[in-house]
Amino acid sequence: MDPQVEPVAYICGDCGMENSLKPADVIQCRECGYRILYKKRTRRSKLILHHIGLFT
Amino acid sequence: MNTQTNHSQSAGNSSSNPGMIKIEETEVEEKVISKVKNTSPPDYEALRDLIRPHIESFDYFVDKGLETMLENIKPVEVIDPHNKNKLRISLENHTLLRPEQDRKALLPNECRQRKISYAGRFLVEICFQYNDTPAVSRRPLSFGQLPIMLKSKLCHLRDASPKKLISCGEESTEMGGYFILNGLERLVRLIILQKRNYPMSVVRNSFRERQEGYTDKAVTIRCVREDQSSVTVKLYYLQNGSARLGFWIDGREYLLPVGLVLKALINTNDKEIYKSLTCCNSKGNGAIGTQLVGERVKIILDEVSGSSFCSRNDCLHHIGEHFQPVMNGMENEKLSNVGEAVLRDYIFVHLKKNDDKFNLLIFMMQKLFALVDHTAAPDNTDALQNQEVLLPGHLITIYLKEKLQQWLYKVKKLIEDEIKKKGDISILSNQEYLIKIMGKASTKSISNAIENMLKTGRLVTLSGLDIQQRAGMSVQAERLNFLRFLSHFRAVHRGASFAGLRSTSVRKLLPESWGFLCPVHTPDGEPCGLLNHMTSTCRITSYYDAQGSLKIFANTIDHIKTELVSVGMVPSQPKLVQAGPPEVLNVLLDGCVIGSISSSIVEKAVADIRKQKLLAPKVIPADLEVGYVPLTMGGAYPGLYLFTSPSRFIRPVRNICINSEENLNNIELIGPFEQAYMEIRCADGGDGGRKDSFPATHEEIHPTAILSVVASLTPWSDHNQSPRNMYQCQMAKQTMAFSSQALQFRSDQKLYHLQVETIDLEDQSRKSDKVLSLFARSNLNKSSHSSIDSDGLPHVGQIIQPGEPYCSTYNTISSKTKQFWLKGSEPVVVDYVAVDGGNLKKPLQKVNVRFRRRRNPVIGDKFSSRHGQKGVCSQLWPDIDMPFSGVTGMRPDLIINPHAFPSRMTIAMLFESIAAKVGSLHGKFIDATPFDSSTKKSNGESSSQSSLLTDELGPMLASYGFQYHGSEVLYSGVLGKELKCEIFMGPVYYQRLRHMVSDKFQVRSTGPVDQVTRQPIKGRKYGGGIRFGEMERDAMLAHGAAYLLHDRLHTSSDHHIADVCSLCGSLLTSLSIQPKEKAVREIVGLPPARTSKKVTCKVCDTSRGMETVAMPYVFRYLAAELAAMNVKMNLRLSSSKGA
Repeated sequence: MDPQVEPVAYICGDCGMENSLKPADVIQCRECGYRILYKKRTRRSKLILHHIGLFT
Repeated sequence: MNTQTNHSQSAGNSSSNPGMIKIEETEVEEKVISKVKNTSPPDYEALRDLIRPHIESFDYFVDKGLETMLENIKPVEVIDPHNKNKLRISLENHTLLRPEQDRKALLPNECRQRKISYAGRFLVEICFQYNDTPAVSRRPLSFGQLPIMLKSKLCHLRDASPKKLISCGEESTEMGGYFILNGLERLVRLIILQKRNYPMSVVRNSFRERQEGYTDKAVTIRCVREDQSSVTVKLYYLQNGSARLGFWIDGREYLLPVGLVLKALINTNDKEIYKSLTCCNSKGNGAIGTQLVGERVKIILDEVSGSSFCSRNDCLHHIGEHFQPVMNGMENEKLSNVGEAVLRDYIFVHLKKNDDKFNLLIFMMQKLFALVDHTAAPDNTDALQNQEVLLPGHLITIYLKEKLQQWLYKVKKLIEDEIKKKGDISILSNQEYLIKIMGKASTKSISNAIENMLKTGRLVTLSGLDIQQRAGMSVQAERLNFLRFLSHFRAVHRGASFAGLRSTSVRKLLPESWGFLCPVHTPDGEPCGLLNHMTSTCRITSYYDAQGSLKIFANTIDHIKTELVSVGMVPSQPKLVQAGPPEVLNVLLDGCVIGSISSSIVEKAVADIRKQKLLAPKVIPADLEVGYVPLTMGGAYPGLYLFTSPSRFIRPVRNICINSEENLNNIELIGPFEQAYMEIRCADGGDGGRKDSFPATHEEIHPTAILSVVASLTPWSDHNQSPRNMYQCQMAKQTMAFSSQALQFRSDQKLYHLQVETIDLEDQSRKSDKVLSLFARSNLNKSSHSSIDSDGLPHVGQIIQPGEPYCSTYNTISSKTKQFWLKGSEPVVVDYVAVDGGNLKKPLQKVNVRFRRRRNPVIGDKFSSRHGQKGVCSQLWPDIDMPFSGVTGMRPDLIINPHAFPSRMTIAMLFESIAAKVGSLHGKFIDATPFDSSTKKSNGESSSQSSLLTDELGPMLASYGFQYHGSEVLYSGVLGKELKCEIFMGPVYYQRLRHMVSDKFQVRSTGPVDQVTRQPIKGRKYGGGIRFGEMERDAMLAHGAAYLLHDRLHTSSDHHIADVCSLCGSLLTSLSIQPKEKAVREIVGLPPARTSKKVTCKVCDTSRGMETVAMPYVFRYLAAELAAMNVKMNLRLSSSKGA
């Protein structure tokens, strides 16, 4: 497995705090402890560019 | 010019299109809002009124029902056989908590997202009492989690302001009234029941089959206890003139001679019974009747004469003897005690005193005799007059009662078994151990049973709970649009048992429903007339008064009694023989004979009580039903029937007998029972054909009060042909609209949302897929440029094409990753991804992924106006090709064929078009309320409406430079030439219905086939075909399209070439032999030569007669099936020439 896994940004469903979680992390808001997190909308184009950069 | 529905006429302007639509939308919204503003100052209060029956009944369950239910549960007694110690176990002091999790409030929105139930902990104290000593030790026991209704007293959102609601992820208009179970919103369906505590005479053929000697006539009463559980008692008339009292215990009907019950109820004698029963019709035309009645009473008394039925105790003893086996926990009681328990628990359970029961039974006998003698007509069981409604809180109360009672019996049995097994004396005194045994009887099953009942709508019960149906008690509250959502709460179902009935009489629209059930808002087809909707003003009585505090029935009943006595009622004394009709009328209050009133003063008394209902200091409850059935020959059985009970339908009307000076409030609440005998005029100023001798006493508030919320939203529905309004009610509920304002917090299976962007009306159907995984983990598979993020889930906002993976999971047990591919044929946009960390110890388990499917209108999508004018889009034209007005430059959005109007007669649609045109030019709203001409006579305006609406609108149109009748000169968009005819054009509110081709189209060339028949499979989901059935085949034959027929039924289906032996005629005995040299060629490496297939017949042992025949494969299958049954099929082959 790739050790350099990018953390994914989530937004807490209760307090709105941004959390970035790694795969093994507990799914819980660090601020308020709420357990429903929404995935944050990211700029996909950037991400693709980033990936392409990785591949080349 | 296309051949399908849509053609030349109507609708707006290209550039101002969104504006136009907006006008229409605000109009509808405005209606609702203005209604809210007018009636009550707090926000959305009128909206909540519509849901109130649901919430109030659940509040009753919380406030009172649980308590009374626990009081009514029979305690169990366990006796230790060793030392004769007696232990009495009962339930008391419940606690029902608000929904919470980890000691924090659990909000409904979290339940929806996490797919869990909105439920609160339910605890009851178990009381242990030894040997009848007063000392009681109590222990609390948890019975699991009981579902809590939203916005009920135990809901966190109870009094939340719209602002608070939004912050909790709800709609600002959230009304509650439903439950959340596993994330789904479900509500209890309102079901029609027989009116409680009212003796109803019924004629039914099935009564004859009960036993020998029974007639088809009976008087039946559904008696309801304080805790809402009920027992229906039927009084059957026998051919010999006697009667039997029938009631149900645990799914079996028991029949008792009526004389026995009369004698067992109170200490009485034959003379008294004789006098009580024969008192009615003692004069005049009743003379013959009296003689007959006397004969019958003699028979009744003869049945219970003799030494064994002398005293009351003898009768009780007799009843007790017969019922001891079925009475739980009374095995060791005295027989007379058992008899008393039977009378207490099963006969007229709404009454406590035996004197009252005796009086009621006498009354029912009189009513039965009147029915038999045809002096009174039978009551109609299908009329709303004799019906009430089953409310969610009441259903839960009675269901929970039964479950707890059964649990107690089970506990008793377990303890007894334990004592038997262990032989230990100390078991009964060791309460810790007893609690442990109770744990075996699974306390959680109680709340699970309630939750399952709400989830599946099925009642799992032995006794039947006196409800006719076992399934369909709950429905899912779909939020397709607000009207659909609301309609679920306003719907009243007649009962599932009537759905399968052949007769249509139950479905009939009866005049008794006037003002309570909407005549327009019922679906057509299968549930037509069975699923009705309450009118917008219809309410249901509850345990709460207008101030929201619990009613105290004991007080009100006393008040009513004293009030009645003051207006001339003679209160019934025990054992006082009264006269019956026609001189005096019986007065029944909630099924209890409280006295009699002289028929000469009854009308004045009724008017007086009605007045008292309206008085501000409420002594008499405002929702009291005063059912005065006047004396008639051969009509309904006369009497004065008063009802204070909950779950009755009520509606407001104006009492015009009251001077407005002395009392400001003249709005009276009336029920369907009394309505049938009241004089209510419409507000149009006419007398409705009444004579002066029957002046109207009441007046309708507004004619639209007969319509449901959905039906009243059809503009000028009084100008439409009535079925069109029915269609509109159905279609309004299928319209795609703004289903939710809290869309971003929702995770429904499917939601529709209109998206009004710059110009286009776009639809997005949203679908949420719940993905359960053992571990969603990083799946950064670099070789495939995956659309999946490092957390195994898609990116938000990303477009996924069909066949692409959108999510991957990792199974920790098999250590395999699994990908989920997008099905279907449409690309989707990932709208939202929510992860649920439910259980902290385990890795991620639940994910909500919501896809957005953008659905631009395409050919084949269904649209309708608000007048039942539905149709599919048949052609999409480029904007520039549409015709346009030479003056304004406007072009229509939609063209409808004028042939849609003559046969459907939806005049209101034309009105809407022209009025909207005027309204948008003028910048003001035009009132489209139906029956407007028959209102506001009183306030001086006196029919401001001219005879023709167009007379009013025409000049206004003309003043803006348009033609008087709304038609316009248009130019062809293609040729630029003036069109020869003038075209009627104007804005019309259009609904996009949820049926879309992209969900429905089904096409296949080749594809999967059935394994057995080799014919194409069915089902759109599996890529199957559409059946070309017998009727289609007949059509082909009629056209002589033989080749096409052969192609469809054979070549494109299960075409097969079979080897048949012409010698023995068998289809199944052919055997193909593989040529041996094949192996040789393979060794050499040559391609296998085209070897002639050698087929022989196994039976004839020769290949001489083998022929190939084309046939459907199912034919071969048929031959095989027949062979399995030892039937041989012989084919006689002949060439077509030689035939």
